[in-house]
Amino acid sequence: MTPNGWFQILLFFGAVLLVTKPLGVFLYRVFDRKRTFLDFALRPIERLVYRVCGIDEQKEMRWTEYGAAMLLFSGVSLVLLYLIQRIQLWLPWNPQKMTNVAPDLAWNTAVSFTTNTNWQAYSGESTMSYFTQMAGLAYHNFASAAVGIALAVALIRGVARRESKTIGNFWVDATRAFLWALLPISLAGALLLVSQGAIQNLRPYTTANVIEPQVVDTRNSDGTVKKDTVTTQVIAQGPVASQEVIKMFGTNGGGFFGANSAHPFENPTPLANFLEMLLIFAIPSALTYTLGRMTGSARHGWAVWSAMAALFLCGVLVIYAFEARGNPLLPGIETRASSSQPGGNMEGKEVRFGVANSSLFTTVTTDASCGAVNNQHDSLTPLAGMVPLVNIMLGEVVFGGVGAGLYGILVFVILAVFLAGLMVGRTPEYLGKKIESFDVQMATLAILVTSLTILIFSAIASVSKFGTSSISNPGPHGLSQILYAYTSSVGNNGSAFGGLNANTLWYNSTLGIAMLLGRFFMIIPILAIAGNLARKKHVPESLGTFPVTGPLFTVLLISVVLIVGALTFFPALSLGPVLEHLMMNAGKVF
Amino acid sequence: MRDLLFLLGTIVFFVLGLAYLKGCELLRPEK
Repeated sequence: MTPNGWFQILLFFGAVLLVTKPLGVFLYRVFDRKRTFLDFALRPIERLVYRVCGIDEQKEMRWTEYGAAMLLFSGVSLVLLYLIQRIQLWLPWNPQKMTNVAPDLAWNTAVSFTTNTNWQAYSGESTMSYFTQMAGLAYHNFASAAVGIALAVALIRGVARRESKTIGNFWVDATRAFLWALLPISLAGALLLVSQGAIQNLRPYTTANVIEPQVVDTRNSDGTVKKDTVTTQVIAQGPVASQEVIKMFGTNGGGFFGANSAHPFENPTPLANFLEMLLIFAIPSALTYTLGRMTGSARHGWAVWSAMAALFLCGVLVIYAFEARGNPLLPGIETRASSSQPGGNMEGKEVRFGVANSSLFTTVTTDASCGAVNNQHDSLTPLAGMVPLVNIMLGEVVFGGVGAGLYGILVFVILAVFLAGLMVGRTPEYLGKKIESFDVQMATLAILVTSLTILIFSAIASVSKFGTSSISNPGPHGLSQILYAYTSSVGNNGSAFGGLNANTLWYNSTLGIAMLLGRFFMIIPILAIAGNLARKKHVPESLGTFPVTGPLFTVLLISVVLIVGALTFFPALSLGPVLEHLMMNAGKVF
Repeated sequence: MRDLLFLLGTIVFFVLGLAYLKGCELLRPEK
């Protein structure tokens, strides 16, 4: 670890802290329909959208209506994306004549982008046309993020409202999230990325002559090997910047290129790298402030933010420490950083970013449900590789996805106040609302659905030929690859360990099912909590009320997240990364 | 054929989602 590395990490943390309040206030004003500085441009567009779509802005929805609208919107969007991929050869903006995507991959991708997961069992530059990238994938980057924000706001309203049967209007919330929260910063951010060197065009791919021709071995169809001289290289083009910005800002993570944010056209400079990480955390962090403002307890918002910040700092500390230490079994490698070399574990790293920025990026992208990568997670040292895995297993609540992070942590908040209530022998209360059996049942259901889906699918894949045949490194590392794939899918993260060949019928289908369950079967109980809390009476605070504003609450919340989130997976983790670490210390690597 | 299967599977999932929504509503004690 170097002072420079820590300076960059702390600079990033400071920047996140700085954007939290202004953006949080802005989101509060947008969703409480108060005047904002963008109203002059966006309000007419918003009204036009409502007129064209026949939406009554004033009509409020019960939680069941809200949930049904969300399911309908997502289902129709999913089918549309599937169809676009299946007929992309006959659609415009396909200069490379990309063929139609195979059914199982098209379905997996459609599910992946609808659920804000952006798991990719393909490389964009060799599979998707520009039309599919823009009208299909980038559209879903906006839509799935808008749905997440809408749901978080609905849950906040559920906490804030008293004796109300409704929690807002899904169509209105999603439209406002699109227009106010996502579009303006995406426009400005795309231009910033272009200024750094990200590309934005619709040109056919460029063929360039290489400076030094390379002789490579190629295999004939009969299995014999022949020597070929490579004199040209194809450089992929495309509308990258516009997709890159929403990929980060909407915590989607699906790269235009297979190399994702390690590709110089997606992430050209250290400044671009910094901006991309900041874009990931911006909305999830700001929403904690919005929570405080909308519920009338700004201190509660900061208490939740503090719990997230503490878990984030722990994660980055662990991953940076192990990556800076490197692999002790590599003989003759200088693992200490010096002026001549970066030190630590540089396998799978983009040299422009090095150990510190790769460790930070990995922590940020898996704390949030983004899933973009600027380094290969499969190449992390075992315990460093466990950090992204645990981050996702915690339920993507360390800032988390846009909206998803907030509604995820509120499930843990409900469990925390419930446990506090049990400890002091009082009816648990949360911001003036009694937490009763139904709320706890729904919170438990949300957590159980995700944990069970991960563990059951991983267990089946680990003992089946169709599951293990995709592993590139057998042993504990292979288990980590499978576990990571299902954890990433259910957590709607979308990053991959990288060594698993997931483009098979088994993985495309089951990872798709895992993504759907992880997204929608978690959201529905959360909406049920929102609806149930909204209709409750306000209970005045008393001496027996457990305060949800101070350090005690923050510590309790962190403990609940760790105990419930991490311990559920401890046996699986001990057979994967923990065992791999112990075996590495005993002299064996995988 | 696979197209049909995946589209049908998607519809079945979202119908199940609506049923799940109803199930959660039914669990709620009426007061």
